Amino acid sequence: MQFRKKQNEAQAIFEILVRENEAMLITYLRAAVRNQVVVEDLFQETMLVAWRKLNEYDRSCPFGPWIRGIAAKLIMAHFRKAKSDIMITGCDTLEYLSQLIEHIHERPGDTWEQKIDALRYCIDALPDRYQRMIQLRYFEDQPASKISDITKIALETVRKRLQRARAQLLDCLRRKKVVMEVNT
Amino acid sequence: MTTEPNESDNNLVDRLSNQWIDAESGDSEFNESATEASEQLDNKQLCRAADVQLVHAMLIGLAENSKDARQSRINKLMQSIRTDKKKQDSERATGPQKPHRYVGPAIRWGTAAMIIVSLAVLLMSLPSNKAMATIDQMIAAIENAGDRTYSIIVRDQKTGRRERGSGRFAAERRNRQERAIFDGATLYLRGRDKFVLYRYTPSGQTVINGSDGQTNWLIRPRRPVLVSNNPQAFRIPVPEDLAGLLTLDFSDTLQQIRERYKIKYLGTVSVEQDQEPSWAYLHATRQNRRLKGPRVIRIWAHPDTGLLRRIEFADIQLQGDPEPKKLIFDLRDQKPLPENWFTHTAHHSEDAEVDVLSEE
Repeated sequence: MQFRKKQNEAQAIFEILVRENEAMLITYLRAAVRNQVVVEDLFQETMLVAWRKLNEYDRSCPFGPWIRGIAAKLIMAHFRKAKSDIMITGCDTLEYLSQLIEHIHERPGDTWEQKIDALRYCIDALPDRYQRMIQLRYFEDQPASKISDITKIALETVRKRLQRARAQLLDCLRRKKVVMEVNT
Repeated sequence: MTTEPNESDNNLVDRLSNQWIDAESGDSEFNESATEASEQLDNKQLCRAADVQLVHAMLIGLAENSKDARQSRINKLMQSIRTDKKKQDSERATGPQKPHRYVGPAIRWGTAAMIIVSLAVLLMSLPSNKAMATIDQMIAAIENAGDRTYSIIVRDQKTGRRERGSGRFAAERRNRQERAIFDGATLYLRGRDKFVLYRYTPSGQTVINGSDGQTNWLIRPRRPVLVSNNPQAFRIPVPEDLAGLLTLDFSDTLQQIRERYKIKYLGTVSVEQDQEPSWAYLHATRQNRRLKGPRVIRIWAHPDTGLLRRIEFADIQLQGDPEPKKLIFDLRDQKPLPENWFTHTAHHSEDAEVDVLSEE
């Protein structure tokens, strides 16, 4: 009975850790995997593996890299199985991505949203035509082809604008020291 | 190797990376060529691709920013964990006849304890700014709070069980030294300085302390009602561990916790049987062993209004009880109470004898 109570307590604390790391981990997965359904599955799988392996976790090390290490193995396994899926990131890139995420995680702020708050500023600083693209693509969840229909702009131009908008956001986030240049 | 910007490199890799991001299900042309193209990228280009993909991921997260989506993701996971645990339990119970090594209670306890220690260490590394802001918000909320009714619960620290009517109380009854106890008591609050505390003795007698903000009063069975203007009169015998920390006006308690404890904000969670995980959760650990007070205090509050939902003091030694206890104040109601509820006349018969003590 008491053992079960201890387990329930561990489960409750683990839930808090999940809440603390959910946004960080989902960002990592989304940066590596394009298919959002697969992202959600990998999130569940990563956290479940972490729960099962919790007694193997070296508590002198930070939690974030450990959980991203589990996620990286599952991402690689996914790409090995689903060969048709496309992957630009490789094993080394996942490690690089993990370092970028760790840098953001160490920024001031209590929540992930606060740590990446500069992104809102960067979006506001974009030229209108790029802001519109970001608005439609992300905040209204429209694919490029649909944006092309809505705006009556050629699909290639839409894609180009999205590409430039992201490049400008990246530059802005670098200036704000949210995205760091990392030695690999 | 570092990621130094190079415009022509960037253009090439950005094109590929953005095609990856924006490709739609019918983009077979890209699907065929992308893997091959990505294999040609050097490390620097791959890093640039990762940078762009990270921006894409951050944008999705910013746009999502919906509590519902995040909540359902977490609920699904916790459900999987519970199912996984049940599955493992049932596999152990009905499991295949493969011989397995006996894992004794010591090992199982050890593993559970190890997991809890690991998790506890992790909790300590979480940020504290939001915690302080939440405490401040809670203190401010008390100033303007309406009527609140809290249940007081005492649980055994180890077993989590409530221990009402134990042998200790039977012994007290025999010795005619019955004391009103905290477990099962009810605390009514209005604003900062008005309270009524109903406590019961093990034999069911009622002891009521209260204050209308100007006079303190005490009602005991078969004795005159005592009333005094002295704010220190009829003080409630709080456990020694909580002396100087627990005041029924929770704002002083929260202020003390703010000064003497290391506090972590641990997100929004549910409280026991509640289904909705909508309470901000704070975990406070005593900063210095030499300071008095419980080692750990757990606090749940409304994330928007700062209303104190529940506060738990761990490892409390209650008078005459050697076993450590948890003392819990749990919000039961916010219904408005009768206007005169905090005056003594609302709690005794009209003909009760009332002694007004002079302040000397």
